[in-house]
Amino acid sequence: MKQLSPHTEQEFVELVNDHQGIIHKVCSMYCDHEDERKDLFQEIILQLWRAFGSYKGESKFTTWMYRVALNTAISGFRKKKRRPEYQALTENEFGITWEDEGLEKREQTKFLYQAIEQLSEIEKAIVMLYLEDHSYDDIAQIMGITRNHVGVKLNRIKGKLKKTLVPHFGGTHPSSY
Amino acid sequence: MNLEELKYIWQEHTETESRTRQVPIDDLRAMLHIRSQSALSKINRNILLDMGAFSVMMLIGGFVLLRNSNRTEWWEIALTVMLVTAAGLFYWKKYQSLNRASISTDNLKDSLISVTQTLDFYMKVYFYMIVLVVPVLGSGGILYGFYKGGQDAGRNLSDVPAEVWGIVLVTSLVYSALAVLASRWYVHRMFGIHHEELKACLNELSE
Repeated sequence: MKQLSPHTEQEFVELVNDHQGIIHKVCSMYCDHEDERKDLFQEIILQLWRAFGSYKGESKFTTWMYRVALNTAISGFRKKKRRPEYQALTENEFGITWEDEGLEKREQTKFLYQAIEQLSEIEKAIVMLYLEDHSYDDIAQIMGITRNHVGVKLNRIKGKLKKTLVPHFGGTHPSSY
Repeated sequence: MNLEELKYIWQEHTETESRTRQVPIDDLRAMLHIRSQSALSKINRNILLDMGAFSVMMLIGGFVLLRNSNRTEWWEIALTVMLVTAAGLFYWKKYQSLNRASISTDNLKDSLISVTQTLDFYMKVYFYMIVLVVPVLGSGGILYGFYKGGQDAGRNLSDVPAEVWGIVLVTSLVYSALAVLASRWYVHRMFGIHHEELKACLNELSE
């Protein structure tokens, strides 16, 4: 691994510190257990650091972070613990902190995570980027697919989420999506 | 309820969670120097161990050859040099190709292509090394031992009894047959499941 200067290390650490929320979001999406989460967090930081020398500012730093973080979570990281396919997550296993959240919000958040848990690894990446307000073009660039393909995938994802969420959130008419 | 409402729920919750899980900057700095736990980094470390073990064996072999230099023939030295060079190049190429696949700032699809191709290549190489290269080198080593053992009495390879050739051949075939089953299981356990998951993700992106 190429040695980068301490000055670059300081710059990197400050940038990552300002945007570490991105890494926490990716970890929430892809890890069921706290140990896995910590391992993935560390692995993403390490991969970002190794790739930092090649970042030339051709895209926004946050877009670049998402790309590396998702690459690490999906292609670079092997989960140690496998969850049986149909076992629902309990509240504690989300690893979600419930501070400052009212009961209704907690329930809504729990159902949202349960719905997302039913998606595939690729669908989780796309829906996370969508929920983070990324444009279709950004999502296409990060995933390496066309804008149209992003649209098709999102429609499918919305259909899946609707099936799980409508009983809990209401809004039975398909056009509510 | 619509997706905009989901966005609001998601963003509000993840902002709160990120604030709660904020990692101190000193801890972030410490993470830059840990060992990677990715599949490709583990393979890289295995390759370095293999290279180390092979180097030690070659050093011992070289030492033995030099110590008995009055009995060492030119072809033994040439063969040793060829084996060392071939192995060195082989391991270096494997290490380099894994390094290229390790750090990916590509988009997710290209990254998946790169990692699956690398894992594919590595699993095949590992399989053929165990099933073919090990018995060939092992048999060669046994026959070489017989040759060196009889060198003082003026014997050469043609003087090795037919039974010995037979035993070496049968042992190699039995080993290879068992190695096919054992290495398939081992390679699948180490990397095969991860490889299948990655291919499934890639197929989904290519639909």
